[in-house]
Amino acid sequence: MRTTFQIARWELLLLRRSGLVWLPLAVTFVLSIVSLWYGDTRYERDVAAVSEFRQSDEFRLGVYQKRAAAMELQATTGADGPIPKYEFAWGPRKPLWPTAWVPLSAVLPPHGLQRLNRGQTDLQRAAFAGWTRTATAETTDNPLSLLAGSFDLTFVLLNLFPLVAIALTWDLISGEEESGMTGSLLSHPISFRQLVLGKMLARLAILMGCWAIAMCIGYLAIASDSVDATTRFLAYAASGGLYAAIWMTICVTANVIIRRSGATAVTLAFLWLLLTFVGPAVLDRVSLTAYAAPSRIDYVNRKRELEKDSVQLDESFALRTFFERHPRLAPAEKYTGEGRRFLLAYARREEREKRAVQLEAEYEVPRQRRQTLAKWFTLFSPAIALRLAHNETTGAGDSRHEHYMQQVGNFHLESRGFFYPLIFSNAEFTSSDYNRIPRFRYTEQSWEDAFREAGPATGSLVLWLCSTILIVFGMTRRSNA
Amino acid sequence: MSVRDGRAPLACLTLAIALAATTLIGIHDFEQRQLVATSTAQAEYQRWLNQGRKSSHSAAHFGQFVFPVRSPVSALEAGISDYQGSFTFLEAHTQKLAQFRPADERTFLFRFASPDIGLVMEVLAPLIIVLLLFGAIAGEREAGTLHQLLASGVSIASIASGKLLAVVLTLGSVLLPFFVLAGSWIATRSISPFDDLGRLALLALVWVAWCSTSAVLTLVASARARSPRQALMWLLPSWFVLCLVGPPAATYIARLIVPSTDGLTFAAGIQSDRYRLPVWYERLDQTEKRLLAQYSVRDLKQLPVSPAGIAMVEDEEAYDKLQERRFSSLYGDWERQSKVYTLMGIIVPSLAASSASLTMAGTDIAHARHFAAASERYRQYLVQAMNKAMISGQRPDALPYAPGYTPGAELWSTIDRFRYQLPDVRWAASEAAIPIASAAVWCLLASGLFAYTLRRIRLA
Repeated sequence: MRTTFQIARWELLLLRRSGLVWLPLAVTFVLSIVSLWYGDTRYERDVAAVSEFRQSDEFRLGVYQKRAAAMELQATTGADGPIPKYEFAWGPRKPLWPTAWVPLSAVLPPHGLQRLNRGQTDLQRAAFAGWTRTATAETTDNPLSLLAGSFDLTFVLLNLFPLVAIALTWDLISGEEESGMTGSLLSHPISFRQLVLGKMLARLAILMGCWAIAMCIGYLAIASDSVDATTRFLAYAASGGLYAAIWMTICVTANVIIRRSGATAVTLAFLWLLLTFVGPAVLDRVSLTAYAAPSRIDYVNRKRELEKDSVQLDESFALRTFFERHPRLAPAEKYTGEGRRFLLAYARREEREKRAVQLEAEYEVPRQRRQTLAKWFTLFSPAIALRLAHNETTGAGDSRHEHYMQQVGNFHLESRGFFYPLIFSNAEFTSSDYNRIPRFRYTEQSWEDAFREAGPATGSLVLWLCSTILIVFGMTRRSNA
Repeated sequence: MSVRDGRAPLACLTLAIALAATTLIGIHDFEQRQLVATSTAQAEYQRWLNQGRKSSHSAAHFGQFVFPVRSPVSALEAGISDYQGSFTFLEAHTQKLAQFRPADERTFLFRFASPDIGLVMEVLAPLIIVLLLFGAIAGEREAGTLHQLLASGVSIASIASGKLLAVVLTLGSVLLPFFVLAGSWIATRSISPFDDLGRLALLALVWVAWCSTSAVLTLVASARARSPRQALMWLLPSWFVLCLVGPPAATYIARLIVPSTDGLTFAAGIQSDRYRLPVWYERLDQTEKRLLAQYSVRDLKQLPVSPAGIAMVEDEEAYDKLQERRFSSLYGDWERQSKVYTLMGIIVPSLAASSASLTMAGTDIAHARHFAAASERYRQYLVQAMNKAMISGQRPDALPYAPGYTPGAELWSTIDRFRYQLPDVRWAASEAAIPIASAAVWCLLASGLFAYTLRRIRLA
């Protein structure tokens, strides 16, 4: 062991002399700073957009609240005012109004760790109406940017670490073999394994230096002392470290097997391309072929049929199923006139929504199966494993968005529980009722849940590292013999 | 030498497999989209005609889906197609972005790379070139054979050109048949073969220019480096920066220079625009008062026109203008960002290649905007035709959705089918003029640098 460390120390000195120590560290430093600047700018902009969107909702609601107050005053004093003819029939004193004209949205705030990794967030819808499952804001990122991908810290780690590992190791053994040095080195009392491990340790130290630089800058960027953020960051850093180590062992393995500089460089470059670009793209196609996406046109047409059917839905059936879901609102007889008409309309609408959810589930199942399959693909490539682990730990993956969508569903129930009795009983919606309208408050996904989602990916990284270390040990032993 | 150490056959095999796989994927995706754009679009119009009797405003909400038409060249370069909606729903009141992006259906694996021929030509081919040529001159010098070659009377220019020609022949043996096959397939699938083959020819030229630039710059690095190792140490990071870091970094810089509105701010803007207009019943109240005065009658029933219909037309007009401003600004931002990206191609050749290839394949922002503008014109025409029908058809004292006026197929058939014409090759070439010129200039500059380097080459 001591000999190995001595070799590592000498190797490090040699590398330092050839400038290979500072170059990767400097490149990592620069790229980390730039990518985190990017991440931080995007994050701050997202936070500002969420706040602006909420304020805009509240502002519009406030305007109608004031108008409702003015109408209350007019109703009590009997004074004439500039209130339009239909306003008493349709306007802000009707409980239907805030649901139809100024619905409050359920907005998903970004997670602080999205500074490090934007993941899938640029494709996910972050605002849904408080009343129906309709997105109130589409994602408007330039499709060209979506295509090019995000220049975030995960992108840097994902691509730079393999490159640094390849650049440091492509002639690890062959360089000395080609110059005839290996023989003279092995004439000293050191084994081939000690030589390889010593060289590998020296290069691993440089790679880990790069990792440490990136992580220090990353931690400074998130600038949070919350347990959630720190724990998630530690998991983020750990998976990054594992990934770097995996690439080092892969490179060493290739060196031990191939033993020619040019061929090793070519093989490693292709391996990188395969594991980081081509492989994931091919596996994505495999998942799409295994669980094909059903036609969205069919989906839209079936949804249209549902809408048509719901209008003709039997009244007694619609009301019975509605009261099964909302027993506190029963019986139907207590509602009259316009309220009764709305009751029937909403009963039919809920029935339609129920069937639409079933329809959506039919279309959602293949997508979920593809997601599950993609998790298994972490076993095929450390890059896939790192991406998934980072997406989940930073809240930029699918699980956080599903967590949000569950809360959106609960928010709809809460909103309907508030508005239904008012709408069906033809109640006046007073200005003070505006303050009682339910607001959406997002509860963050716990880091334990995030880790559970990231678990398989982290497990794959550990498996990759153990396997490649074993291969290096096995190959150096064989070569020794 | 490359054949002997196995690099050339491996390179050819890799390139051929990559091209074959991405071509099959591209053709499959194109055929799927084409099927939707033709048969489903036809069915959609029939559905419009057979929607049954209903109020004309309900028909405007019933709406129509329209589908983008693509050139078969898009099978080679998917570009932004997967990040754009597959179709656009056109209905009353709201202009929409295209819906159901294929990227939403995919897993996170899709974000690693878009497996198309563009990726092969812009990322993989330069890497293959680097790996074939990094030791071309540095290797000869390190092994001491460069002196021997020169001593035998061969000039350095001949040696370098020979090495370049070897790579051209190696890659050309795969690329030439590929482009011929691609051209024949495009000719069979094209509605306008002149335009599509023109697009393919320009696309191929851009890619050839980019690959030539990569090859010549690799030779320059190999000529200047002390050893093949040093050459590779220069070339791999350069490839990494140009081909992998380049595109995301360029879009990031483009966003810094031209910040675009994010989804939430855009939606809040649209909502506040709607809020700036009178609420529908306010507008109806104002219209009724105006019409009563205009026709000098006291009762709504005496009016010859429907105030609800007129209010609808006016509201739609006013809201369309506001929405158009927002959407124009959004598309304008995207286009300006694309322009910045394109201009960066003057400094970074890989960006010029990718930018030109997206435009020639018709899968860039400019083409997306062209289609969005056409579909929005059609939406306004359809919705306003429905609203105008209400003016004369609806009872004057009835609200927009009130029963009474329920036209049928006789009104729906007055609406023409949506027809979209893809811009021709001249339009695409003018859009891609800067990146095409940049790619050509880079090719010339690299050749100049190559000639200069050869004159000052170190022999030992």
